[in-house]
Amino acid sequence: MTHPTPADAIQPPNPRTAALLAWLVPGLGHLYQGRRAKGVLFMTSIIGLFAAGMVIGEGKVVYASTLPFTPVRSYVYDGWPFLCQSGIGAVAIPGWIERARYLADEPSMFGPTFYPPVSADRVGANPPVSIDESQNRVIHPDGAAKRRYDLGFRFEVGMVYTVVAGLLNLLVVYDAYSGPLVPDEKDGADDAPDGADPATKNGDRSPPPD
Amino acid sequence: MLILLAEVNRLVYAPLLLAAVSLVYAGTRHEDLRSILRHAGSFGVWTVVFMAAIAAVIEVLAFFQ
Repeated sequence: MTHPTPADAIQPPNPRTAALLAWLVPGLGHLYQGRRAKGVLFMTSIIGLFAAGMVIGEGKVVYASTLPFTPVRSYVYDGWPFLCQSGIGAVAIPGWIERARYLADEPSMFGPTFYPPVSADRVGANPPVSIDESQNRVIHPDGAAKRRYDLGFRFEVGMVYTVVAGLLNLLVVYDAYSGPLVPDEKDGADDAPDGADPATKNGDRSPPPD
Repeated sequence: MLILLAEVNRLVYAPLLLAAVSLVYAGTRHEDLRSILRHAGSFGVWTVVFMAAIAAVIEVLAFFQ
């Protein structure tokens, strides 16, 4: 009976399907591959971080820019947070749908969470207004400015949490597709009995469900 | 130093971010859960030490400003 090589030990099954599932929901690709421990770990960490960001930001920190895609530089400058948050498919898909609905003058489909704030060209005669601590009216140029003003530092924290969650999920997608970035030959190999696949021994590499 | 004390309340947002980044980063480099947790712990400690060192350098620079 031959021992598995390190290269064999990090070859995850069904990498493309798993990568797609991992993008849609963090950790789902690993659960699909039977790598339960890592799936639960990624799901808890990334969804927890994203949810915390949404709570801190009162659900107003995830929205796609309504600027046209060209010039690219302007779009990226305005919409880079959502591009990062799009590392999670369950965020990206409703976000892009809500952007399209906003540009088509249609109401929100998923509630106010992913719907873009009113842009400056649509403010018209009713600009967004906040009331400060001295009960003075603060007139904002657009909805995004109002969100930043109302939430203050919490807007930044919520934005950072959700952006980092999206970026971290890109690492998870890669891991679901091709295994750990830096294969560690010691992982499980020392503890596995003769002839046993160390990953299988850990319960992390059972075949995917049909 | 007074500036840092005034910002202490903002640091409450750091642990969750640190924990998530450490766990996911370590998780993408190992397959065994014990190795992941060990790597995440050391990664988190070194991140805190690194950030503290940067804060100290900034404080020293601010002192001589």
